Amino acid sequence: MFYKTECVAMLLAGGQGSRLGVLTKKIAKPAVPYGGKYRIIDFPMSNCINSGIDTVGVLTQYQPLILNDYIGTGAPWDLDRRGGGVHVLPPYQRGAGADWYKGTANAIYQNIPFIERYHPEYVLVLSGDHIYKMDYAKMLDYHKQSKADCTIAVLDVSLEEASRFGIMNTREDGSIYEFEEKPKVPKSTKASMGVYIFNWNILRAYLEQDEADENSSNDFGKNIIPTMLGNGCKMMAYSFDGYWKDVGTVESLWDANLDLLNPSVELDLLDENWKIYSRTENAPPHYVSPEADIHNSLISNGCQVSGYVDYSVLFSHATVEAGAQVQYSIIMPGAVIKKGAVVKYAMIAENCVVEEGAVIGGAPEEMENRSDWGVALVGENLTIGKGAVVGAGKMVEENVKEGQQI
Amino acid sequence: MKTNCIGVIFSNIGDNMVRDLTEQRCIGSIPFGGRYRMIDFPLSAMVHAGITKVGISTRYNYRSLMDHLGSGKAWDLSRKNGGIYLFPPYSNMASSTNATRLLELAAMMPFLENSKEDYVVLCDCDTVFNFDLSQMIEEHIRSGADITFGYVRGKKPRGAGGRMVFELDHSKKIKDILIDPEQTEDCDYAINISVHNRSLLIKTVKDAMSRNYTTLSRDVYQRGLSTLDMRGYRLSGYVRVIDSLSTYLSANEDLLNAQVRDSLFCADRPVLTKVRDDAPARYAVGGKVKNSLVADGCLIAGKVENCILFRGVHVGKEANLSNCVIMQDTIIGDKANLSYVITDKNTEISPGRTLIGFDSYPAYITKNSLV
Repeated sequence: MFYKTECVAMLLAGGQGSRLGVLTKKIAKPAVPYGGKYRIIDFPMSNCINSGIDTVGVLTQYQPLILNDYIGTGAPWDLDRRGGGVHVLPPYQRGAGADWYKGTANAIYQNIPFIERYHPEYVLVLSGDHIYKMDYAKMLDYHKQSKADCTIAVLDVSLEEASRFGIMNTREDGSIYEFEEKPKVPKSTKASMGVYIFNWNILRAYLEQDEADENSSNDFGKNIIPTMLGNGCKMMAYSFDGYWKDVGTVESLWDANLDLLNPSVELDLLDENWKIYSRTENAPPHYVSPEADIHNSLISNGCQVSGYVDYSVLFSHATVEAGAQVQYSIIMPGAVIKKGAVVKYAMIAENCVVEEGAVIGGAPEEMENRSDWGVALVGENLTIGKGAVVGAGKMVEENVKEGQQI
Repeated sequence: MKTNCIGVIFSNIGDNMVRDLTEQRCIGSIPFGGRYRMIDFPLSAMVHAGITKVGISTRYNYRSLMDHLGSGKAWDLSRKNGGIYLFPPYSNMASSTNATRLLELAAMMPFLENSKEDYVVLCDCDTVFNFDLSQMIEEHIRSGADITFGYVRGKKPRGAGGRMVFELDHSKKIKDILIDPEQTEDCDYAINISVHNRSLLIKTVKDAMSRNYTTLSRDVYQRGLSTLDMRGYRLSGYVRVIDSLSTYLSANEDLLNAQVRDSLFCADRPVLTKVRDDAPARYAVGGKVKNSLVADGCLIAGKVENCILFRGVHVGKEANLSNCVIMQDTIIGDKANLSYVITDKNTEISPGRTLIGFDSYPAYITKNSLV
């Protein structure tokens, strides 16, 4: 049974996230682990349920296995419902042939039948790449009040950053008169957060029109939004004030994790009124041994800590043996840092083993040339041999032999 | 694998052994080990043995148990066929608030009669364990016994209505059953988990009720020594009965031992429990933790040693905790000093307070109180 639903959310989760390198070799970007026990997609999904939106379509395409498993029936987010709930929507074959999702707009276009089942007034389009807590219900209220055809959430960024984003140039009343993708000379600092609300009947017409245009790249930012603007649709910018981070690169993902340890960052995961839900394993509380020395860190269930951990995030079932050092690093589920190993300014993906005495990553101040510095990254299920060295900013995609230097 | 077996759990049997902790709950819902409740141990063992239908008997103080169990989803027991069957007291039973296993079984007779499985596992909630129950069921079927009792060898703990001590022959047949004998030596004492043939159990319970009997151990097992084929099955791994507040504290602290953790939290049979969606634990600047078990949602800015911290505990700056069990959502104020203390859920210790218990007599702070 499908009931009429005021607002249906469509979550774009098909992106590869190629700038995350080895982290997204086997998993889609929205499934990348974050914050000790979450995956990126937990944020938009939890935002939906906390905002009272209980019908969510998740559009998957790239490496969907882990993402599909993770979403499952949607029960961890309370999205296992009789009528609505969460639905994973991969591309599919039709009588006329099969198509991959050609672009973000095409992904929604191909799922018009899904949306139509609920006869919605509004469609909320989200992306699965961002870490933020946001009440979409407030944005929807704003959209209704301003009688807009489309409302785009924007974040005030610094002028230097503005040229990295899609920028909305607005009038005094918040209506958008111009959209510029990554402008060299930004006229405003209102960056699009990739959160859109459309009146469904209008969006539907534009999606069909866009699909008919063979030259279109079928993308919201490149095609739908500019065309709507050009045709004089009423488009409003909805200002969001709070923590929002695009975790598209290795460094930004690392940074966003460490933001959780910074008391001045306003992303509070302990807030009972806006919980971020996740599918969690059954793990006992973490154990801290008598030799352990832990400072300013996040540590999850199932971890075993006997070494030195400072300003780091340990995911579930991570192990840090006695005499090992972990600093400014992200240790993903099941990874083991053995005796005397040193991990600094690094991300170690799931189930890696860093053998005794290995050294991974380094501090910016240790670099001869500071611009060469970066976050070291070790891909999942790899072993870094005894005494091996992986330099700052290096990305490891295969096992590193004993004593090897990279 | 699905088994030919159903489960029955008694959630109140043993309440009087830990009166402080059961003031507002039953023994089955006593929090344990940072995130679990006592009922998680028998329930998880049953689920891992392939049991998909579990009757849970409860007589009083069961609000928190119901809250914990919910629909049974966390144990995969929210099902079309089988799942959890909760048996609160029936108004038509004269002795409805009397908790004995026999009377409770009599009250759930339709559940036993309507099941199709050939075997029934009965279990209390006073013991922390994680052994492979499927092997015990297999052994029961293989031996052809009428009843198979779980037991361990060691110093006898207290028991609800008396702890049974067995005398076994070489084939593990039970030759004699003593209830709470004077015993200082190691002995083979019962862990209240047993496997029964369903039809025989129904017959025995009906027969016992017609004679106005009240207990299984004295009226059925002891009297049945010559007629019933009863055998012992020695439980392996970590097994600990909670029979007082001090054993509660020391059983929690057993978890600081790696071997105990490996036995209790083994990867193949995880202890299943309700999920609370807390963020990972946060170690703030100044937090210093040694030899402790810390659950998600904690925020630690003080010193913690030899402690079990449940979910959502906050430890203030320069606070000092040693050998404590701090339950869910307790707030420990700055510079508070606690040693051998058990704080129940949602308590608040004001800044600078000092509370000292002793290992054989821990201080206990009741639920929702402010010190």
